[in-house]
Amino acid sequence: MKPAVGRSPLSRVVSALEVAFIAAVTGLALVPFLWLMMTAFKERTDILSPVPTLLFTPTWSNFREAFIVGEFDRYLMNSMMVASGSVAICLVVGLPAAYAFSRFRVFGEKHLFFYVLTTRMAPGIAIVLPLYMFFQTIGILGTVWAVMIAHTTFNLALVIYLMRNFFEDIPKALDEAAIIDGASEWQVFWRIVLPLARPGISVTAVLLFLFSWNEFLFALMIGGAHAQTLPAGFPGLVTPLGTYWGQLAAVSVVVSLPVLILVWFMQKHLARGLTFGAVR
Amino acid sequence: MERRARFGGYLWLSPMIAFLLLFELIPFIVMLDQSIHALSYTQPTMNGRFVGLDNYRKLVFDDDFFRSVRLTLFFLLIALPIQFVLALGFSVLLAYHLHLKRVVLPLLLIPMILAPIVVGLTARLNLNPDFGLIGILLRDLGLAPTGVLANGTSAFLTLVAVDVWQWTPFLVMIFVAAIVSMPSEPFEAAEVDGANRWQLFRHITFPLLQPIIIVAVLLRLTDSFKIFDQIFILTGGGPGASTELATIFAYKVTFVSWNLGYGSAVVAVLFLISFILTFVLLKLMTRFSRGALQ
Repeated sequence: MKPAVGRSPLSRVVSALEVAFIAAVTGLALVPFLWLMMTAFKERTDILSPVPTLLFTPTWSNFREAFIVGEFDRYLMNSMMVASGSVAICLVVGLPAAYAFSRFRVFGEKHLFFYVLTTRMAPGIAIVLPLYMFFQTIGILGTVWAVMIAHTTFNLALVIYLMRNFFEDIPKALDEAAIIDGASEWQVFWRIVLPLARPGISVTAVLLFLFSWNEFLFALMIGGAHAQTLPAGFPGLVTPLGTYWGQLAAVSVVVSLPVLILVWFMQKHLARGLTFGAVR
Repeated sequence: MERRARFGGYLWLSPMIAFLLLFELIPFIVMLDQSIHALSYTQPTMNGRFVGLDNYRKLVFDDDFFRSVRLTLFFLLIALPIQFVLALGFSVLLAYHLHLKRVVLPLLLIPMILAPIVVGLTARLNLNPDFGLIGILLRDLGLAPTGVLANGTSAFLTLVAVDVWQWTPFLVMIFVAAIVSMPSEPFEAAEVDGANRWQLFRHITFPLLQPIIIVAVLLRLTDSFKIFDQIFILTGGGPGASTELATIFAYKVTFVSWNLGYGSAVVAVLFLISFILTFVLLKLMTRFSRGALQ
């Protein structure tokens, strides 16, 4: 659609009002989160002030409390290990599957697809309870490995859907030509398709990382005390004695920063990733 | 032409199938087995006893369970229509000012891409009646002197508002993408004929958007059904049980009361519900998304 601007003075005024409205909505939607970010740099008295303080002397004390005095440095390590480990498992398990779905006639393909998707769509608790009991039985409950595996269960659907989508964009004539030249199926995948799909793989990997990084319930129940991630550490700061707002806000900033940076760089691909390829 | 691989492609699928069997199917069967046994950390003497379908029978007569499912339903029925109406209006408006899209969209998307637990915390901080930005405002306006989370109805509506804040941008993102990719001829023809903006929307934009709206409704349905983290940090299901949606109820039965046998039955039923939702989603998605937005 074309912007309807510049026809008459009236329509120009209307257009300006519309721009102002869009800007106002966008600004207002951001205020609550900005307030949280500011809280991270406030002293306790500024946080609890009954008159909202906009001007204050910024301090790192909340970050120091959480990450140096407290245990959140360890949670940060766990978060990074879990997220990158889960991405690795997802790619190893998901890429060949996505490739097969994009290239071969697979018996029972639809049923397999559906099964993979159900784990993504089920409420977290419906995946976490079975895994909790299973991990307890095999004795890996409370390890980062268990959390990595748990995060792979819901990310697997994403990697398979997205990568099949990306693989299908690569012309099949290329691999057919290679096969005629005597390449094996594995060589076609490893030497031709994967390198061409590299942009798609990095987009997918970023999304997988984010979903694991942001996840709360699995990390809380399966990670236990030893393998807690940053989000899973939140409830520990909401105690019967009081809520540690400063530390909560500081941890929120650390959780959110990578997310915001990555999203800014890949807005173009976000729609595709978040709708399982239904929107390109 | 699709090639045939050795073993019908199953060699390539074997890592995935091994993973699914080991970490999804087997645990799920273990849980189903658990749901026909007694297992509760509060009544250890009964543990392991075969109880047949007792846990499921209990579920059928559990008012708390049905209340939580009803609350989830209310939540979906209130939150989703609001999101769609707001998103449709905003997308059409934004499509008239496309040059703003590059700045506005990424900023609007921030609440959606944040960790859900951070979203919940943001709301909790801002709504605090003593020192939260929105909380103070509402208190001074006399709307919620003790905070919106102190009262059952307003706490529930707060969850709706948080979901609207978080997810309307998602819809705006996909609607704008759809509007931009629409053919321009029908719009030009209608403008020549003197159609106003509402008529353009009513007779061209909206009909063309319909397939993607259906996909979006189903994506939002399954996602909203899953809502957990935000409620956990915001209200914990309270006050009373006014915000105890199905997922929170299941969590409380299992990981708060540690009634794992009964909890397994609850979770099995929740899984069944989402299974049906996913089935419908996939059917409609393959029907509508092809050719809708290529």
